[in-house]
Amino acid sequence: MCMLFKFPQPDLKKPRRRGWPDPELARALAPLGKKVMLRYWLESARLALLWGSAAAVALLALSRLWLFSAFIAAGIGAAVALLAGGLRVYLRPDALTLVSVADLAGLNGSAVTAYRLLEQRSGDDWARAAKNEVMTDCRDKSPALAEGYPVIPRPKSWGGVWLLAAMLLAYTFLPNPLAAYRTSVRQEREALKLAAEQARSAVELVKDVKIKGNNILPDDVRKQMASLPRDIKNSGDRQEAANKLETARWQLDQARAVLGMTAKKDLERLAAGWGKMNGKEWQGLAGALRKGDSADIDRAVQVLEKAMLKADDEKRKQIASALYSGAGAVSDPALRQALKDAAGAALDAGRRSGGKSANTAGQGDAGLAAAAGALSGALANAAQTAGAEAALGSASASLAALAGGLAGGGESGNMGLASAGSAELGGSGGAAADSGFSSDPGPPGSGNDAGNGSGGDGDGSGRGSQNGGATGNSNGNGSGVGNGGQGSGGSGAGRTGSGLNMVYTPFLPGEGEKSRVAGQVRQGQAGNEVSLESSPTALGALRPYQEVYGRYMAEAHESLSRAPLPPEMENLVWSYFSSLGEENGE
Amino acid sequence: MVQELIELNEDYKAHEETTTHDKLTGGGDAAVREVLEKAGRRLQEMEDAIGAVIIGQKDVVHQVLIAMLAGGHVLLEGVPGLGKTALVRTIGGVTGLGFRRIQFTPDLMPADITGTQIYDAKSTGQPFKFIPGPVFSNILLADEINRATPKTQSALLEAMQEKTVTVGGAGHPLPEPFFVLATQNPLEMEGTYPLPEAQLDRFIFKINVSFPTAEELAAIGNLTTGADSPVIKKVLEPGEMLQWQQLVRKVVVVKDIMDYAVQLVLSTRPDSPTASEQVRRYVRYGSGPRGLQALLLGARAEAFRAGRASVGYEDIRKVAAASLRHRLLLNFEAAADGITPDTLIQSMGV
Repeated sequence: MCMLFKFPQPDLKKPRRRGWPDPELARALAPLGKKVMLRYWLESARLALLWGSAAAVALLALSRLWLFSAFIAAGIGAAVALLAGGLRVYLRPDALTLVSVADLAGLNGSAVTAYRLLEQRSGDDWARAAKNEVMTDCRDKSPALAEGYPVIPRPKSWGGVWLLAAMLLAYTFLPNPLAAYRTSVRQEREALKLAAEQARSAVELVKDVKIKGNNILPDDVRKQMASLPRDIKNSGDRQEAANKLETARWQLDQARAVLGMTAKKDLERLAAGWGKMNGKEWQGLAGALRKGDSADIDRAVQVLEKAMLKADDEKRKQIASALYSGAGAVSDPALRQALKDAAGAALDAGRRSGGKSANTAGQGDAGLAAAAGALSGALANAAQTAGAEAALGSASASLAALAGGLAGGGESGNMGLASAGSAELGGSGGAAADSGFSSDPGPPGSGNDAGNGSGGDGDGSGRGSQNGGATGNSNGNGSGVGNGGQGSGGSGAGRTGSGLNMVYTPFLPGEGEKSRVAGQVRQGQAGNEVSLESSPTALGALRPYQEVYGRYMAEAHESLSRAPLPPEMENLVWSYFSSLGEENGE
Repeated sequence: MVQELIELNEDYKAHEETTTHDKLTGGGDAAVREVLEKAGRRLQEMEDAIGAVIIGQKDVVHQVLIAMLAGGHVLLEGVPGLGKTALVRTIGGVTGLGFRRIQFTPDLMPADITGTQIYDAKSTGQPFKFIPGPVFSNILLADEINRATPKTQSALLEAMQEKTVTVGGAGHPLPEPFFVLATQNPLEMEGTYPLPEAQLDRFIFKINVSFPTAEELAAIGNLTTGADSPVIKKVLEPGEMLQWQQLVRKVVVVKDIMDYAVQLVLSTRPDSPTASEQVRRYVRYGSGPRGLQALLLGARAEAFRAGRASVGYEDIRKVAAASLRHRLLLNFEAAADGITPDTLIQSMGV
């Protein structure tokens, strides 16, 4: 009976709840029906608690392996409990189910027979006799059956709920070993988010910078810059973000190198020179150059032009001399030529006017106007270039600071940046520089001659030592000992306070002092030193490994794309850089 | 003899039709109630009368009466000496129905059961005259039916199913009511011919006759070895049994209870989705439609016997074992594990 007897299950696709065919049957079964429903709701509550607790416990257990908030577990557990409860409400027993339960409880088919016969409303004598018989049976037996019907059939069935509740409490109050990790991950995310915002600010500086209407950055670089904040935010960790920042910074530096990085100095020199001149036209022009605004420069040049027209011969010579001096001070050939042309035009205008003021003569000078216009254009161009350089430099510095901060695992800024001291010619002065807490030996220093030296800036203390010769050894601590002679510097490396290895960097693109290396460029040429391009760091400076790794990587990528190397060889190169990256990651 | 039985049969039919018509036409449900109550009283009287002669075996007596109400034949299985023959003889006496007994032996021929034709042109004007066999009775006791050959056993098939006998190309209807109460001994299997499934299926019930208890045994000793022989009291009027058999079929079975019976029958089949693991493991063939018929007729008769107009789950359960046990063909593994059909039927929650 138990095995074969099954409650009518509602069709979930086409739910059809069966009502009472006759209220008389409902009344007859009411005592038992109430208890059956009470038991159903208690069982529903138990199941909802059971499933909800089970879901919450399972999720909390999972949170020990895969980190997520306990609130998620609580929310999902509550949702499962509500779902189970809702499902039980939806599947609550209808009249036919209650009838079946009543039969199972002891009515032995009388209830369902009454239900069906009342439903059919047959006029057959036997059906009516059967109906009366079973209705009487239901009325007579239902109260007695209700008395013995257990509302809570098995108290032990609540054991699962209690057990799960205990587990829930344990999981809630016992500390999660992953909590610290979660905190660090959250901090990592927040740091990346903050870095992304800062990178966005840096990118904003350069994304629309134009010279003569052309954007200073190539399209592909601009796209990379535009996506940089998102890439930073989506990075797996700080190191990856630092690499991306470093690559972006390298691209900005490249663009900066293309600009030549001389415009600002040219303008500064001109402003400094002309600022010392008497006359409001010079002061105005110097001020406009310092301000860097094209319109101001144009106005100032017009004032100068007028001044030249008004000036007498002596004054024009002074103006021409100042312009010639400016031409000698600038490195931009176009600007230099424009200054020379303007100076020449001033002198020519004097000669044409015969020593009188052109304004006095009531005539303008077309040559002077053209030269002034060319000068105005050249100066405006220089101002734009200087502005672009400044923007690129600022953005590059910001990205470098961000990269350093991320790689260092904390504050922004370059950590442990060090530069080597330079040795004096012919004297003692091998340089050793170190940064950070010295502990690990760095790459060998180099120098022609040894000497004593000191230098280096950056956090930390330590001193490198070098041996004279083609290669040097350096230690975190020690003192340099070398043979006398000429030395151009040495370098030692240590570990920075932030844990970055320092590497030797011969040249970084950017504005800075020119370095000199002793020796001849080629055999047979004169001179005993070679001057290198200007660089923001002194020759042989130590830079954090991560600061230059991305740049080397990018350079390698470009070189590989240009060089017709066999694939296997390319793989070798990539393997080499990958291994460097892995080593650094350790 | 045959003529007498046929006349008796006609009387029964006429009585039944009159009684049924009188009681139920226009009488409404009150008349139904009255019929049921009267039948219940009369059947109780029958059981009491049988009980006065047959000591113990109340369940067997009850089930035999249920089978008679359902109009089916019964196979009684039990060791010799348990009163099977006496039970059948007593039932015949109490019901007032004609009773014949055939002792089945290996040399028993079909004609010994159904009857035969003899040349007798003088008395009938026809060259051959049909001499009816012992099957022409209301109650036929087929004693130790498994000792006859299959050929002879099958002679009973037509009689049991169609309630006619065909001899010499002519059909001879059997008297109504017609019951076959067969017995077989489960112990002595040597020299026997187990009944084929087709023939077993024609018995509505297979009733196991168990050994009496100590008290029952003592009562049997007293009753049968004393000076006074028990007197069989005739209880039924002619035609009553036939009337009841027709009324039994009017007992209401609602869809849900019918579904329960159907599920019960299906669960005896190993290829059914509702079959239990045990059934799948031990049963070679399960019950067929005749099993369901036997189950429902038996349940209706059980309800009728209890004076009810509708069948309940309990009625199905009460007759399930007797209706289904001989329809389950078990495999060798079941025999090796000591599994019987009753074990499996009980495992179904019956």
